[in-house]
Amino acid sequence: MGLIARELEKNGITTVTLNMFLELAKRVIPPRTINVKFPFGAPFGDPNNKKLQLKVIQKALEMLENSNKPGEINELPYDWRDKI
Amino acid sequence: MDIKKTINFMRENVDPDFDFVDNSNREVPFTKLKKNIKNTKLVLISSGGFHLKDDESFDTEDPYGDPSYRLIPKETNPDLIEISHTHYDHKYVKKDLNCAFPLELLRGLEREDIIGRLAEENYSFMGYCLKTEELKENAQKLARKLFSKNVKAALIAPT
Repeated sequence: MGLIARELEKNGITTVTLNMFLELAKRVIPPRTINVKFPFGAPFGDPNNKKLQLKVIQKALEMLENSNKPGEINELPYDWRDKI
Repeated sequence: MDIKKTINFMRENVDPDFDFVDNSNREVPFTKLKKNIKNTKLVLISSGGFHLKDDESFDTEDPYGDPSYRLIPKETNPDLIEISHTHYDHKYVKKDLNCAFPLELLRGLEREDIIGRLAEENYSFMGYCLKTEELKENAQKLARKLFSKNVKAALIAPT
């Protein structure tokens, strides 16, 4: 997804990319990365955990608005099934 | 996941010349958001292999993957979405699509005026694609289309 993010960004679209494979993000370097500690298949969090999923989206939106460092990675502290 | 093990696995099983793209010596493309997110149109893009049931499925047979993408309208009922992607467990998204493609949550944030608009057309690719040049070309085409529809921000999620 990092490659897609970089192409969008080159064409004037601000992107934030969720990530579950930190070493790969450090190599492909999307413009803005939110790293989560969740399993593959569920980047926004566990099923029906709406508050956790919304928290991940909120952090992603904040990064879209505020990040000034190209290639920045924000590692979220939340665990699978966390109650927010 | 260990990157070296993944590279070795891919070299042994798919392509002896496989390597991940390495951008560490390249400039990072960067576009600052012009307005705040409350006044911006946002698109959701996934690599979950999602597509509408009556749309063409992704090619899951080609060992080099499928670089194409599919359109998913913002109001789509999750029951109308199918998955063609063999590289992750679908059990979470089958319980709750918001785990990977949160159209419902983003529509809620649009109603609450937290985001300006959710784009009418959202998209899915199928992750695991070794045809990186074709993938980049398709992403470029998609970017131009989004820009022409005044979409200025993208939330991108792998699976």
